[in-house]
Amino acid sequence: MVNEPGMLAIDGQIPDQLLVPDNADQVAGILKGASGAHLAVVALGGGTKLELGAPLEHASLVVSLKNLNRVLDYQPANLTVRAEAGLTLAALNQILATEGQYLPLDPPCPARATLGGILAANASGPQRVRYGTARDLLIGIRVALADGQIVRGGGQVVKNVAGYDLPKLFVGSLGTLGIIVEATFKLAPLPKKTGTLLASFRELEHTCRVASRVLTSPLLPLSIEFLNPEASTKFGMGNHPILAIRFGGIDSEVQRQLSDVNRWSREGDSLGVEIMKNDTAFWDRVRDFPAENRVVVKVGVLPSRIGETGQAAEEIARRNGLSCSFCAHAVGILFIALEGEDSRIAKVIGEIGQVAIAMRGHFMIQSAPRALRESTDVFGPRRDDWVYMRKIKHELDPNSILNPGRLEVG
Amino acid sequence: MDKQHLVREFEALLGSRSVLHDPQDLALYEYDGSIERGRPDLVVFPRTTEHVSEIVKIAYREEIPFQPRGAGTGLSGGTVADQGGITIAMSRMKKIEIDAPNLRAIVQPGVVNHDLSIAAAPYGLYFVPDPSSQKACTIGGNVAENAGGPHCLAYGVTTNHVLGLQVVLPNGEIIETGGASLDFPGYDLTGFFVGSEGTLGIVTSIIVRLVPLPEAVRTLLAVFPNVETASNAVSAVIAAGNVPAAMEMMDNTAIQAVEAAKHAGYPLDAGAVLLIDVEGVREGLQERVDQISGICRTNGAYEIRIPQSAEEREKLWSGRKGAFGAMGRLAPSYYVQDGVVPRTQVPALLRKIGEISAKYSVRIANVFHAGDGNLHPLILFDERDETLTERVVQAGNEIIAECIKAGGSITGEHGVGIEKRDLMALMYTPVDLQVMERLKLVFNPNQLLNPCKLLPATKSCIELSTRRRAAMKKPLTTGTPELNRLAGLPIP
Repeated sequence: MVNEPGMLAIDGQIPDQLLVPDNADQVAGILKGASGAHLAVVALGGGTKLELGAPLEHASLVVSLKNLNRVLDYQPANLTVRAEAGLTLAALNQILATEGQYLPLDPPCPARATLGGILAANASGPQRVRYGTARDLLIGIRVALADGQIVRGGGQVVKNVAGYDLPKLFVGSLGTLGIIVEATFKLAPLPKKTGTLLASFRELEHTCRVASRVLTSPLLPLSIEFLNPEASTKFGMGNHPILAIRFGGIDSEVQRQLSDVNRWSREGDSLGVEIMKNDTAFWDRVRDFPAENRVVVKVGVLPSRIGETGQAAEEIARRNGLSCSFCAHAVGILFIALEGEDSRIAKVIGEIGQVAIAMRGHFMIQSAPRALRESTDVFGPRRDDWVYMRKIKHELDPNSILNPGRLEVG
Repeated sequence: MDKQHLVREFEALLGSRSVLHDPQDLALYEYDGSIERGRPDLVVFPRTTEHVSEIVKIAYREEIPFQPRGAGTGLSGGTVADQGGITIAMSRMKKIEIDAPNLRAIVQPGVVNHDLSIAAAPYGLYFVPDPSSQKACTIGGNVAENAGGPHCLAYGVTTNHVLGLQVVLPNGEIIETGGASLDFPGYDLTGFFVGSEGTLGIVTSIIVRLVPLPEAVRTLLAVFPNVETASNAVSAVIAAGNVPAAMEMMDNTAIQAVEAAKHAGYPLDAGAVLLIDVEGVREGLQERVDQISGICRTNGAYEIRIPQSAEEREKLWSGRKGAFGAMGRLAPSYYVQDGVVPRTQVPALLRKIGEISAKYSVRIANVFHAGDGNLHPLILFDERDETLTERVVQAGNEIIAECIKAGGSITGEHGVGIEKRDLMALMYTPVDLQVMERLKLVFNPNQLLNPCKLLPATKSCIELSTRRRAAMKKPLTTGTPELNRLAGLPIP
């Protein structure tokens, strides 16, 4: 284990020490010591989401998982893989690709994002339309708890209902319940071919109508994504709302589905349609959109309310003199990037949040400088279920040493 | 408070037709689909979330154990009143609201699984989890057990289709977790509640994801000389990049039973069959079917049948779904295991099951979700033969131990309940079990809700349930449930 002097700030907090353990037992040992001494511990993966969540209160020890980067068990015929939490998604998928398989998660920055970080942040991307998110693919987990014990939940098999579903509890826990040291995932076969249709429309509502038709049809898209005009401009693709739909599979399936959505787009008054054969670069940009903007709000609403929500956000931003670009997954997740003066951004985030809540949805700040997160409600209003989240937090981390403040459950 | 007072209090809350307390009536609620028994002291039928909350508050106040119950089709004793107390039967809470454009439904827990798919069908949608009991089992029970089914191979089990819950906690408090939109911030309490076997709270409303019906489905019946070749074919199909919608196996013993009971069209001389559903858009489907057929043949299939009509296909599937029931043709009772192994370990495990069958001289039929590695050995027996029953339980435990050794699980979809609570220690370390226990106590601190389930039983669990079971063996004072039914006496 390397023990380096404090060198980097995590969310504005300068840690005393950066520790680089070589294995899970060392991670557990660090936590045991930290628990006894009441030292705040931050787990560090690729550092791609340090501005996600409420402001970090302290950071005495930073535990980098970069040396926990091994694939522990990969059996292609089982379509499962078990790996250490510090392995990056790109490194894992490079190995899986040799067998024509992949972990079908596409959060931003896969070359740096680690498996543990993706789980803790519940990070996902446009491909969730087809494959869901980390909670749907994670089948087993090992976590070092605050008291220095290592707990295992789930297992190696794709179907397992033995005991409580511990893996679920750690997805999206923002490192506040334990340090994930190992994870087992279900995998998917890599599509033999992919193809993407891009259609531009005059109005966002037209885009939504076509997307809704695809979503409720028997077609099996990998991704259905909206870009608002400002996002289209950022992508260098004109200044109209764009609908992007990607299919994967064998050639005949892909062609047939593209031809359906092509027809539906034309019937839906699209301004123009383009079929992209080499679509990887485009989807990489969509994937990275939430990471490439300084202030991003994530909003979750019902699929049918995306258009309304997006338009409301644009209108609120315009009224306050901000620029507002967004990419949205048609299943009901918008990533809204805001640019302009910070004092106005804080106000706009609050108003967009109210729109989401009024639609029985929710919002959270996906990424913003610390000062903005200090002055803004990061997660929106809490329901009664947060009382029980707090109780879980107290049960597993009674001294609140793990990422204190991040989830506001301490 | 004595029982009569309690009955009156519940009758005042729910009406007299919603409370059962006669031993004859209660006897109907002492079992589920497993071999466990435990008679409740009262059965109550709430119609609203508030009813459930009030019932729970009374039980909490009186410190009486209580447990929710759906259709009673569970296979691990999850709803059996192991410690007596109040059984809260959810069968009258069965509203369905469908939001087709958003692919959602809000359902009450007493909704029958198949009824939801029937209600969704006019919109071209369905609810994916399809346990074999789907014509009887309820969504509340599916949530409690994290139910699976043959068609979960490609699209996931119940937890992948539940987005939000309304839950009555053991103190009567009502909370909401998750919701109709995705990725609610905070801990995933919805995910933690699904599969918690009714030990953390009682679910009173469920937001589920619906899925568009596939445009086209092709069913293949691949016939193999033995289970070994059939299971090799399963691994090969998956390894080649195909995840069919369903991939089910039956061995010769199971085929004999199914054919005797259902005349579903399975070849009686087959060593094993694979029933495979391939779904998707029409284009490309034939290519996939050809590829899978080819892999089956390469691995030893000597016949591939593709049903030419919907009826023929339906018959094959009804044979598969009715397979457990068909075991009655071979023996009066069966004891079903639910172990899971990595797909590649299926052939080795089936060999082990053969050896265990010989060792204990018990007959075992295999009907299972081969694509998931989720085995269902059905050990056939006659409850009246006590030495045989003992051997059956031993054989079952040995099969489970082999699944664990192969890196698997003690249960893939039936749940732990009472039946497998002591097997949990085979699979998890003491630390794992302690963490589960501590998390359970966060929600269920007095352990009044569904006590003595899912985690290894304590001494007091065993003592009380043993005493109660002994009392159950005494004959009932008047009539029997069957006689009551024949006499037209009220049975809800």
